[in-house]
Amino acid sequence: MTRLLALVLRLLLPAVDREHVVAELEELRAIKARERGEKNAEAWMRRQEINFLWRLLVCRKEPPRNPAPAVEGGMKRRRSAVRPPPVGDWWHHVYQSARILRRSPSFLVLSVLSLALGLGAATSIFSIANGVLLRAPSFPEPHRLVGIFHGEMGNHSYPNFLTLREETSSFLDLAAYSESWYGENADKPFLLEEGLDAAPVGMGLVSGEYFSVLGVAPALGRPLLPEDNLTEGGTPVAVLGWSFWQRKFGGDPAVIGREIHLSGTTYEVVGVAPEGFVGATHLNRPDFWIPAVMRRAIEPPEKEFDIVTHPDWHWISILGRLKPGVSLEVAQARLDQIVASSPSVSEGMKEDSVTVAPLREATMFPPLRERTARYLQMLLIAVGLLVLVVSVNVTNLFLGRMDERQAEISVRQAMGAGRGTLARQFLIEAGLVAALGGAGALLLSRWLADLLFGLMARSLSLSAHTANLTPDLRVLGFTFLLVMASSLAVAGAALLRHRHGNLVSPLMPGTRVSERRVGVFSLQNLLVTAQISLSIMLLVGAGLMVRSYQRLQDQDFGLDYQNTTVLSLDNERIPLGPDDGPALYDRILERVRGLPQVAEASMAKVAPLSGITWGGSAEFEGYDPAEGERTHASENYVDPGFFEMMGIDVLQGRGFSGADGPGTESVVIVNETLADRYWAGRNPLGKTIRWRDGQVFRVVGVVKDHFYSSLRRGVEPLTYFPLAQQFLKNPVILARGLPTSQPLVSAIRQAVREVHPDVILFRETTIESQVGASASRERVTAALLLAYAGLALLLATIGTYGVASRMVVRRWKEIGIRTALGAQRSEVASLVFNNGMRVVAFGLVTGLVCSLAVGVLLRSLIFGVAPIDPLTLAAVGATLLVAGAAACLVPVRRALRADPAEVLRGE
Amino acid sequence: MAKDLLGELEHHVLLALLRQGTEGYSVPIVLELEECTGREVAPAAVYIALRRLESKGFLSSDLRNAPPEEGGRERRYFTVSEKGIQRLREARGGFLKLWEGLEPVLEGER
Repeated sequence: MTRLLALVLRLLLPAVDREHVVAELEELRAIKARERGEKNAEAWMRRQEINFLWRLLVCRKEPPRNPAPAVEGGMKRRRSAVRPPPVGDWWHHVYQSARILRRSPSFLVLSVLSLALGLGAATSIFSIANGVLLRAPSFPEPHRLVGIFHGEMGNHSYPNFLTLREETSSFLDLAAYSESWYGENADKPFLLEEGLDAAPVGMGLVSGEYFSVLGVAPALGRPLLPEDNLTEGGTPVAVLGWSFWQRKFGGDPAVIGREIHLSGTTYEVVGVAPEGFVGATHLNRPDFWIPAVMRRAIEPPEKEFDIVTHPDWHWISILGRLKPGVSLEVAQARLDQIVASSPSVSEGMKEDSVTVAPLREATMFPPLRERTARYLQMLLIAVGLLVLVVSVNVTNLFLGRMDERQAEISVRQAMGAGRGTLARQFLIEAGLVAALGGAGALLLSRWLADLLFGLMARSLSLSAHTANLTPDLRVLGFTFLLVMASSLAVAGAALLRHRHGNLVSPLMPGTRVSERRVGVFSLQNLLVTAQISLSIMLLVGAGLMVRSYQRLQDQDFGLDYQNTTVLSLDNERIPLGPDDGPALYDRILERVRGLPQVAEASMAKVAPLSGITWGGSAEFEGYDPAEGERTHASENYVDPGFFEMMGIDVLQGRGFSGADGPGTESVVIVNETLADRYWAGRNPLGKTIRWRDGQVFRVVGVVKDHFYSSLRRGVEPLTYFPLAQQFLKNPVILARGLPTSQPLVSAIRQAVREVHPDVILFRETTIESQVGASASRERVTAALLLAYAGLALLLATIGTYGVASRMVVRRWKEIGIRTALGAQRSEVASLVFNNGMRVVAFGLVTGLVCSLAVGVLLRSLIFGVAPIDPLTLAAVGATLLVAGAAACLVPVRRALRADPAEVLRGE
Repeated sequence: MAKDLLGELEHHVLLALLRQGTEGYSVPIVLELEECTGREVAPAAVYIALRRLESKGFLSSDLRNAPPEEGGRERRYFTVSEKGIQRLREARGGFLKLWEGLEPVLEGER
């Protein structure tokens, strides 16, 4: 930002002063840096630059470019301090416009402020889109960085990576990385262990070529190197992320060589990544990078195969740096050839082939990218509407000001100013206002973009820290275009208005400029109509999102989820099997239930409404799938107390009992929806389900429908298995506390540790907060659209007020005469009121028609509401009528106060 | 008459410049003013004041490069003119007259 300010400052300074002022400012800055430190000096510099700009633009007494010789005497002397620059100079016009604008500060402040808000909103959304989707990653020569997919968008196995790296000739080097699966919010995160505490951390599992391919040098120590790739046993070394290093170790350089414990393995810290480096992707900000081959360290000891060497276990992404001169297409062609001909390429890869894509696209899973793009597009359209409303508002203010300046403009014309001169004057004035608004917008958007991205990142499955939102040339260009477009629109409207400029009447004494009768379809009225229509579109969008959010929240989840804490367990490293595992879970649950703070406790693999889904295809006895139909069900693994605790009624058959354990018949409980779908009209009890691994389960019960993973998905065909029979590691404990003052979580943590010291409790949340997160996208969108719509409505109301009050001014004499002739108060009131409301009514009708498109645009985001929702439309219409009526009140009152005697005396 | 009046900041800037010796440029003036007033002084304000003083004929200026040991970049050096000295003298005389007999008020010995 300072660089931008410095640039503008240089532009605004007179040429003779440019160099020395900049040099002297920098000299002072250096002194301040020595006195108060670099950071304060930076802030000081920014302050001074803004101060300079302000003085030069707005409140300056123009200093002479060439010091005027002291002239003695009379008129000349008075003028010499404000030296008129040569006529015809653009600067002269700018200067003159600035002086004219300064004379109407309220116009200046109002229009700059509304432009700053509108353009700022647009710029912030564009900054986000730019940072997330468009901006080239900030690595050296980013255009040569590419990602290589297995098939269209798939991951690779580690042996595939080794083969490709061995055989390809188009790349300086290839690197393997896996960052998105090991974020701290992952289902199964890495845990940083310190004493008895364990906290989830974000991890990047990368090959030793990763840092060199990206062109990233460590801030401290060394990066990971190819020799860390040794598959035999792996090398337990780690590179720290910069912000984690700052947060956790206070930026202590002695961290190199320190040992850290991650999920049961001890690593040596060998380096620290540079500041600002957050990995190759947007999805996760790793706190550590470790060699990809260390993946084996987090596998349970009983795992039969090694994921790292398994040819069909696809878990890593590949990125590469193209050799100079090799294009994407050439690299793709050569890779295709290698895949087709090389004997060491796996069969799977031969079948699916590979796809080369620019890194920016490759680091974001394509469907996620598409979804994010669609969402941001929608927001961009919304802010686009807002920008239109704001521009119309500024145009209206501008036209209003022109009425006041009619005499001045007529004088100019009378003295020979042509349309060209006038156009230039309008354009410069509008440009100055828009430029100030644009500058304000840039400043505002810096802050707003961070705020908005922080709010929406989670709901877009992005990490809030990874997108670079600082304005680059593209963002500046975007704002510049908006500024240009709005100044052209404003100046154009002004010129259009002035098409039939009347030279004489404004100059005649006693004539009021505004007495010209203006029809309903005057330019200003049309503009306000447009403003109202656009506001309605935004309001309808906001209304639909609010209704969707309500609908999501107001659903009957079929679950008793209040006041339920969810604690995630990690028992990955304890060698447990189906024989001893269930007994351990029983002991844990028994201890937890015995705690004085705990009212109820249960265990499940998947916590309700957590957003996580387990499921797969299965065959259902007696059900004949149609051609191409995939019969599937979601699944959960629970202890016998789960149904009662979550308030899920067993409708038919029985729930689970302690008897459903290893060695007894494999049983399953299904929900109503599943029973209806696959055994409609038949008794589901006793039927069997053949799961994808060939195991067969007998249905022993049917439970009432309820929500499983998220508010949007709602009820889905669901199967329940007894956790004791189908043992799985890493379940969650669901606990409901008694209203005591004692902390629930720490007591449970203690109890679990007492049962087994190696069972780690690493994350706690509540179902309620997960419900909140589940609807966060709807909430954020509703809030954003509401804010935009509110601003637009406010501006439209001001516009309506303008229409009505202009009408009162224009027809002041008429109103006075009518009153004198005995018109009733109600007649006068309705004269003004109808005039204002006519504009509102026009706007309302066109706006409601246009807003039908809004529903279509929002179709993928709304929930439980029709795209054309009568209730929303009615509410929006009513809101607008009330706002319009309120806007007319003040002008009506003014008209009623018209004193006929006064009016007529003025004649 | 407005042309010959000295604003408060202009007055300060003139004095700070005189304290630099025969000539000076904006940086030591800003520092001197900050030192004497104990407040942050905006270089932009000093810049405007200097140019205004110049247009009133109280200063003259020329552009020169700084000595190489100080970076060698361009600076604008100002010198107080005879007229400026004269105006300061008048201002001081006026102030001293106004202050006459008021010192006890300031020292709290009413």
